[in-house]
Amino acid sequence: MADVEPSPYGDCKFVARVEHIKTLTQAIKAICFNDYGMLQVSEDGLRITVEQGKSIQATLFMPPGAFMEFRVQDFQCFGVKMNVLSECLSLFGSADCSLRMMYRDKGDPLKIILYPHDDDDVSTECAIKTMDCDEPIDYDQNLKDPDLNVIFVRGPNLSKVFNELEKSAEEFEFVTSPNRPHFKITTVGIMQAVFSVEVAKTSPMMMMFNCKQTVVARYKSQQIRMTNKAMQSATKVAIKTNSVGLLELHLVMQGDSQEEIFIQFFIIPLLNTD
Amino acid sequence: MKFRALMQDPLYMKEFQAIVATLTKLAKDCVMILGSRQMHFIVNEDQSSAASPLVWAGIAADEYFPEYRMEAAHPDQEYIVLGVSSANLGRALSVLRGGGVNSCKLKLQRIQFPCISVIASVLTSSSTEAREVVHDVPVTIIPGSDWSAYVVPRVPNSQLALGLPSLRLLKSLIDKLKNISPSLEFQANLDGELNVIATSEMSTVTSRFQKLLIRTVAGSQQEASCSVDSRKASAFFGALQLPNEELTIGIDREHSIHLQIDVRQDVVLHSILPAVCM
Amino acid sequence: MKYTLEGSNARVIAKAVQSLSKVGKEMFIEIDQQSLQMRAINATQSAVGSISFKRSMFEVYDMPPHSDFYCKISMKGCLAVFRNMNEVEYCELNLLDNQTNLQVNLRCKLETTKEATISIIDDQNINTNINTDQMPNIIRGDHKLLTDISNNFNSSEEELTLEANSGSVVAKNYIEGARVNDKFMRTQLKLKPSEFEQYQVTKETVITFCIKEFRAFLLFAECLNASLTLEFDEAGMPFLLKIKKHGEIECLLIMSTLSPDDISFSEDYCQKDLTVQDEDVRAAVGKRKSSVSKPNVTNKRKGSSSEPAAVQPKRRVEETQLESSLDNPLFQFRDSEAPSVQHPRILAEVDTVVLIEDEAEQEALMLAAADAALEASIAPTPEPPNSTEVCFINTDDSQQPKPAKSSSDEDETIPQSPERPNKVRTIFSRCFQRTYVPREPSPNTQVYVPNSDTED
Repeated sequence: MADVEPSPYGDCKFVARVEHIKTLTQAIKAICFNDYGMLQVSEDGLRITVEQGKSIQATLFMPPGAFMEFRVQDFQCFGVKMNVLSECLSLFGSADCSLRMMYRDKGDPLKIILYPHDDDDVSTECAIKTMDCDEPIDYDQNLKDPDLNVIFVRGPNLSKVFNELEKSAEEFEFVTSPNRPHFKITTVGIMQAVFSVEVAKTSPMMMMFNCKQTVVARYKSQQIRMTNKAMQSATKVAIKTNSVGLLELHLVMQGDSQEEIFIQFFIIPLLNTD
Repeated sequence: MKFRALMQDPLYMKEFQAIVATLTKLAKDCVMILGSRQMHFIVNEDQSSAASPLVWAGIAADEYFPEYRMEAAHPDQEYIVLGVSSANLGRALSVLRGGGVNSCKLKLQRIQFPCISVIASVLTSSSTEAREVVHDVPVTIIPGSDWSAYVVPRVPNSQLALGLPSLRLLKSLIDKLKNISPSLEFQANLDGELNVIATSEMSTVTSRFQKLLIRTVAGSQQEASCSVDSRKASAFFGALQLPNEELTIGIDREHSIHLQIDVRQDVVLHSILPAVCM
Repeated sequence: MKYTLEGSNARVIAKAVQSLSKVGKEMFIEIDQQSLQMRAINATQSAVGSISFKRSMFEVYDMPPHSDFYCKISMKGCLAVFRNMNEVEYCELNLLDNQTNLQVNLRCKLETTKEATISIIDDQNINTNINTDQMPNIIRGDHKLLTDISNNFNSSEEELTLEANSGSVVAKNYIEGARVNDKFMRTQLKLKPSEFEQYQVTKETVITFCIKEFRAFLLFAECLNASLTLEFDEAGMPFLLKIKKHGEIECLLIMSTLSPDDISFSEDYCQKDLTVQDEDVRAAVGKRKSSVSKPNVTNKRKGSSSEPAAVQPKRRVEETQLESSLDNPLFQFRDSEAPSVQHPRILAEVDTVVLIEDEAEQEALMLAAADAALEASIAPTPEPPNSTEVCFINTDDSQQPKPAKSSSDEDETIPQSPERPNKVRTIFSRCFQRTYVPREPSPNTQVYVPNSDTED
């Protein structure tokens, strides 16, 4: 741990630097589906968690290696408004910036300073109010079973598959199975039509296919679509379901620095009514 | 009453189109004041229900029009003043954007009602001969008795004016800041620094532009600041269709911010953002 | 029954669906021994588009001999299937379950299969037999040229007028001499015959038609990189747009045109020769929005169909028309020795046709209102015995006009037209007067301007 603080950061408990904000901005926008986000900083890295109801949760995780500089004292946890955070990161539009993030202590604002790369004479400092932090729901334990269905797919391909799902559908039915259809999504709730898309396990988009049982589960199409933005910038996606259909989408995004950053979605299935 | 103007240079036609397109983005209607050597377009602040600021453009006729002829209705009048839909005018001129236009004529005439006919001679790939495209833009002729309501605005006396070499970052910034706060504070000082501050319940955003050119200093002012409506500021920057990158920001403390873009020597676009209470 | 296509052909079909979706909300599919045809009719029934794909475009064309098939499906569903075709390598169309479902199977790259099952709403077809062969005016031009022309007009524009003579064609968004709202920007574009691939105008004419459907087909021509042929006669007669590609794809868009009859005048300015019925005019398709020629939406039901007529009990079965239809049947016309089904249309000045965009039902209501107002305002003229009359066979009672009484019945009473909702938009009012009559100059226009230059 940092024993001698350099002066520019004063007595900050958390300081981080990112050289290119593009991936971080995309990742934050991708999980911006609810107002309130929980930031947790520890020596493991930075986690930002967003939940909606009790049925969907998204967590952005950046390991320390994804930062140019990452220093933290103790475990810090605070809440912020996600849209404010996202707006601050996109203040300079598409212009590439580097970023410095600082947090002094409980009750203090989170400071974000942006420096556009192509103009040394311009900078923006945002002070974002922080709130008390709630505890995110822990779905992780539920998906520790050894007999999960696990599929690794190439991100851009899966993004296309998801994107082509008919938007007017209310629900999507996912089938993962060791037998045909190996991976199939069907729309539910469209008048006069049914659409489905099926990917064979031998498809080149499958990086790994390990399904031990046939799992059929339905999800709100709106919640599946919440993963679209993240999916678009993901390089790899792990799809995991347990026998009751709890769905985990684990997305890997190639950060601008050497190390990858991750977004993890947990989606609760709808109760089977028929 | 006669008005007739002809453009032939593609570069100037594009520039003229860009000025009108900027006005089109700001408001539905604008006022055209045609003088013997000058043409003015004014978009009034109160004219539109949107948050559009007062914007005007002054164009020296010689700059754009090799042929330019204006005769007022009476020998003792200096102008023709017209009300025109900027949307229609913008659409009529949009043909100039693409290039391939030989010439473009503007002509005041009466068909069933007074209108400015925009007659463009367009070269196409399908024929060796130029094709004529005519748009008759309806106008309202504003009688001399009402002219007092349509005078070209005066440039305010700024205490401090700074020249910003590049609009790009400011433009995107203002567009985003309007979502954060309804008003923006502009602070300028003699060190050539401009700060734009947006404050909301959840955040404070301070943007700093340094090493700007100092254009005007009135008196011994070290600094000047003014808060303006962020939607108005954003409307002006968002509307800009001109290729120019340079902007002059003049701050008249407590009163207004004056924004000026010199398109060329005698073609200037102005806007005034009035001060709001913080 | 099964039909399969290779990916690139399927992409062409997808583009066709996209174009037709801009015409109507329902897709009519007809498959016979030679070709698969897709059709759509617009809400006002003033335009019918048809795109036909020859058997040779298909790899498998499994059609039992001496049979044909037709059905109606929802355009939305159809559009959803053919939305994203880039990845498609192979397409299979299947008629399932005693022809109640159409299944589309798209085999895509990366061993992905997309499948859609669209239920067939009805076994219904649309049909006309306008003679599409002998128009006096034929203009053929590259899609780029016509796109160029169409781009000069605002997307909100409703209609396009062509003034064609042997020396030039002028495209306008107004009719010369018709009164124009003083906020309306007139646009015109003058084109020389040399810009077209074929230019044959033997009958000088001014013709006005709907631009929206025109643009929809222009889009398809662009995707085929094909030329478009415009064929027309005079105002009031149908306007045809044809696209052909490699003899495998044929498109036909039939649009009704604004009839001179429908330009109404206040009584003061009514010109005599226009109130007198002109036979040619009466043969016209009629005005687009109100006195529209209704295409024959004929209920063609298979004897073997499992669904009884109860599905749409109001529809009138009209079988005799079908087999006698011509090559490209779309609208149904016939010689009428019998009394006319419809009154000749002369719109009164007050009768501005109103409609709400994209609200077909509202529109139908408005049309009914306009029709009623119209009928109330005119004294019907006797029918010349040998004129051709638009045959009005509508299968839906709600849209069916009152059957005409004897045309000389002057005391016909007509129910009051329904009130117009406030938010309706008025269109066409500018077309109702041939000459401009400056009745109430607005205060701002008191300064009368002479034309700025007299040189031209």
